[in-house]
Amino acid sequence: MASVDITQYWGAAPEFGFRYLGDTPAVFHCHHFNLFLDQTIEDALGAHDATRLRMMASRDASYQLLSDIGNQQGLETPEERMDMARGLFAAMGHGTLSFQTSAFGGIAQGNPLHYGYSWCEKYGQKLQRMHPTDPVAAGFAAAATAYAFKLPVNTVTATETQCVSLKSDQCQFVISGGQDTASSLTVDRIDTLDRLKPIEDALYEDEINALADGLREFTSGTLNDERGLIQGFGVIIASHMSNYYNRISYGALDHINQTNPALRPILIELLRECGHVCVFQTFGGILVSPEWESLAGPLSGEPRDTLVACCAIARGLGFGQWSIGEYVPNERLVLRAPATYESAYYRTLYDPTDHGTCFTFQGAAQAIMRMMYDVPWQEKPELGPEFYASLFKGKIPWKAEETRCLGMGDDCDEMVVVRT
Amino acid sequence: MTVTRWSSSERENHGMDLPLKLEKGCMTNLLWRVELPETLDAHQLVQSLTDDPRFGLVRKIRDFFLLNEPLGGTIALVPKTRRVQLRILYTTPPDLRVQAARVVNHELSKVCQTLLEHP
Repeated sequence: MASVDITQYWGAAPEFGFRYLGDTPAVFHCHHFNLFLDQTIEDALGAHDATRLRMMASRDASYQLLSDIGNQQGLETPEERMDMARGLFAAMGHGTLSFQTSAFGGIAQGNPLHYGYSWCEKYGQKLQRMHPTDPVAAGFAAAATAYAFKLPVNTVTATETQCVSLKSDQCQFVISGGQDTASSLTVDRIDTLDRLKPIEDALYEDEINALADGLREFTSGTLNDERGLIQGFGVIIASHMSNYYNRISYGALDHINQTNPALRPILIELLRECGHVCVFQTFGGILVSPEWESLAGPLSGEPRDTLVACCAIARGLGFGQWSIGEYVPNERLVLRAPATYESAYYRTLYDPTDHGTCFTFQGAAQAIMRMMYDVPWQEKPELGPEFYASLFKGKIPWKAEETRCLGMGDDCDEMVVVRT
Repeated sequence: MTVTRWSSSERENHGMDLPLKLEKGCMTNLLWRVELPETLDAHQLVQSLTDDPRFGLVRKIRDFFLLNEPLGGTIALVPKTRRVQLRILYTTPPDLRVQAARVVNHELSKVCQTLLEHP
């Protein structure tokens, strides 16, 4: 497999906190968030519908990415297109895929894969899984086949038939023809930047920007090892297409709205909890890492410093230009962003609504205040499940409300966090 | 968990090993903190590891260095704060990770010992 130098494809709109692979919006998340979000979708829709949604979301997002990168390079033959796809998959930290495919379908194998490996590492000793873990890889395999052989993307599908989380030696996918509704439920760079306005009069901007620049530098190089995974910041991270995250989140809500609207508040609460997991595990992992220590020095434990760091991390990972609009210590926090990767997607593809649509941002804002005041950073805390439960499973002394949102037709996203 | 106790026979070979402590992380026994001797120049250590064929430099970003280690994992090193983190290869079976950390620490300690003896 020829390796892909992903460095050449990374781009950013730093003034808006967004990152791109080519023109495809991309973000970084850790394995904890990825597993939690996928499990949320599975709990909401059931394994069959969730697997299908996740596969299609990954397929369509991956196809956009592969077309974008491949067309930039002028790739024409199936061999060179497939080679690029394999290399890009690994460079993003999703693992190793090998293909035996043609225009009529075929087989792909994956070992290791980000989701399969992570699930086994996190849960393999404790839980028995009943369904495969890697619809993301399945979707990517379908997209790669469609792109390589110049097939309409909605005519290719993939099913995971073996999975390491089900005790197989490797993951295996059957790629075949199918026909589902052609969807272009993806956004690109232009969509995400449309009509955005920078946030003005935000606090500590120079400091946040300097740290965000540093984190972008850390995450723009070749990070994957020869197996195609990225062990960094104390977690397993991957760059991912934000179209995937948004499609499964809003797609699950659409499905619930139609089939069982009574469950909608529960799903929204779980999507918010994804924000808790993100801040606790991804942001927390970064904060206690040697990488962050080299950028910012040892952690001070000061709430204000933690807040600055979290905003920098959000920008560095491509979540949006999270900015501090107001900060009254121990009382009130107002975060604003021209857009988040959630709202930029929502407002492009959906009609305006009457409620905030940035569920991960909602949960993250609440979690940031919790992490600022209730984590003894200087004691180098263990960011494990017991500590997470102590912070987020009981009553949380902070309440976050999305008071403005692009999804509501506003000109920015705004999160107000106050003590309960 | 601090893993510095050896049996008497092990101590003959490993008595010079640097203090090794499990870093509290979300992944079982993969991250370990090593305490460098106070008199050791951390920048010199980076250079020695870079030049050593058992290690070698993977990546340098600003003042952060990522180096290979003999068992396939990596070592993260921040000279200005003297932070040293062993990152045991994630494919290492869980029941072998503690031993792997000891082995890597032993190899790292030998490099440090050489530097201290021949600054």
